[in-house]
Amino acid sequence: MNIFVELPSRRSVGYMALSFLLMLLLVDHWQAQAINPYDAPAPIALGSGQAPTAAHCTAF
Amino acid sequence: MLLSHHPVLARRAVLLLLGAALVFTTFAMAGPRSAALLIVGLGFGCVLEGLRFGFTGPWRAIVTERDGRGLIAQLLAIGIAAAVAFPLLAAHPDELNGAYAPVGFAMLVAAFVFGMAMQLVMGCGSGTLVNAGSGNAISLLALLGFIIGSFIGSLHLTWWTSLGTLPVYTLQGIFGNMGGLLVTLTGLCVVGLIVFKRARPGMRLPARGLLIAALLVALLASLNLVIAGQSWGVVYGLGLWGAKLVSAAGLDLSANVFWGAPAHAERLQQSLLTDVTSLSNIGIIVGAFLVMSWRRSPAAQVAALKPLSWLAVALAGIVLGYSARIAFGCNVGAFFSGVSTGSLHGWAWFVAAFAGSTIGIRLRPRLLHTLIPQGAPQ
Repeated sequence: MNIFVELPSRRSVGYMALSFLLMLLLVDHWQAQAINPYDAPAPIALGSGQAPTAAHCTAF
Repeated sequence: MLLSHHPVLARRAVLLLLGAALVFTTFAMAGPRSAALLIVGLGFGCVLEGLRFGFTGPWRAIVTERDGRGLIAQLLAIGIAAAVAFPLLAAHPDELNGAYAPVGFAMLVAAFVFGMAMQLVMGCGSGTLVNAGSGNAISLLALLGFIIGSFIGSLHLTWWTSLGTLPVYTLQGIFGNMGGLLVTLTGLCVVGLIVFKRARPGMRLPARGLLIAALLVALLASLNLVIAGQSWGVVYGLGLWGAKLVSAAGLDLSANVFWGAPAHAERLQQSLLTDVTSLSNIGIIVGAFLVMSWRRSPAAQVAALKPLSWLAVALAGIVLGYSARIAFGCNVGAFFSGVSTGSLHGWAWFVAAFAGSTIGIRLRPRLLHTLIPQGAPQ
C-alpha cells in the first residue's frame, strides 16, 4: 500500500496515536522523578484546604 | 466462548478492559486524583467524539452554511459551566483557580492566527486530540506539529508578553461575583442572538444529541475544576510533552525564562501522570480512540493529500501550537475556560480567533489539495 495515495485505516492511525502516547509515557517514566505515593494530593481539590499548584495554559 | 463467537462483543470487551487498565494503572502509580482526572479526560474524549461536539466545525458552519446549531451548543455549555464555576470560585478562592490571563497585543494577534490555523487543520486544541485519537491521519500530523509549536512558543512567551500586556482583568473583579456571572451570561446570550439571527431557519436550535453533549461537556469541565483545582486546559500539557521529549534528548531547559521558573521546572521534573492537563489530554485521545473502535464500522479515512499539502498541515500544526501558547490557551483554555470563569481575555480571544477563523476558512481550499480531487477532506 502506498501510504501517500491510500492512507492507513482509522484504526491503524488510532493505534499510532496510542503508540505515541505510550512512547511519551515511557520516556517520561525513564526521565522524571519517581512518584511518591505518600505525597499524593487529596483526591479532590475542592475542600482539600490546599492551594492549586498545577500549571495551566494561562500560566506565564 | 460467547465472546469468541461474537467478534464485535469481544472487541468491545477488550476496549473496556483497556480503559479500565489505564485508569487502574494511573491510580496505582499516581493516586486517586490523577485517576479521577484521567476519567474526566476519557469522558471528554467519549463525549466529543461520540456526540460530535466540537469547536472548529461549528465556527465554519455558521459562516459558510449559516448553520448555528453547533455554536449555540458551545455557548450553552460555557453558560452552564459558568453558572457552576462562578459561585465555586467565589466560595473557595484558596482552593480553586480560574483561567485568568492578561489581554495583550501579542495575545490578540496569536488568537487571530490560531483561528486561521485551526480551520486549516480542521481542529482546535481539543479537536486535534479527538481527531488524532479517532484515527484521522491529518490530525495526527497536526498534533505532532501542535506539540512542537506549543513547546517553541513557551520558549518565546516572555518576549511576546513584554511587547505590551494589560493587567489581568476578571469580570468578578470589575462587577463583583454575581454581577460578573450576569455579565458573562448576558454576553453569551448576545452572541447567541447574533448567531440565531445569522442562522437559517431549521439551523438555529441544537438537536437533542448536541444539547446532551453541551450538558455533559459543562459537567465534565466543572468536575475538572473541582478535582484539579483549576479549569480545563489543553495547551500547557502539549508544550510540556515537547519539553519532556527535548529534555530526554539532552537539551537543558533550565536557562530558559519559562521552563526555568520554579513552577514549570517542577512540572518538567515530575511525572506526566501528575500533570493535570497531560492527564486530561491523554484521556481525550484514548476516549476518542475507544469510541471510534467501539463502532461497528468507523468512518472512512480522510482523503490523501498532495505532498505540499501535507507540509502545509505540518506547518499549520506548528503555528496552531505556537499561537495557542502565546494567546494563553486555545478554544478550551482561553475560550471555554476563560469565559466560563470570568476572564476578560477569554472574550478578547474569542473575538480575535473568530475573525482569524473566517480567513482560515477561505485559505483552506487554496492550501490543501487532495490527491484525488473529490472535494476537501473532512
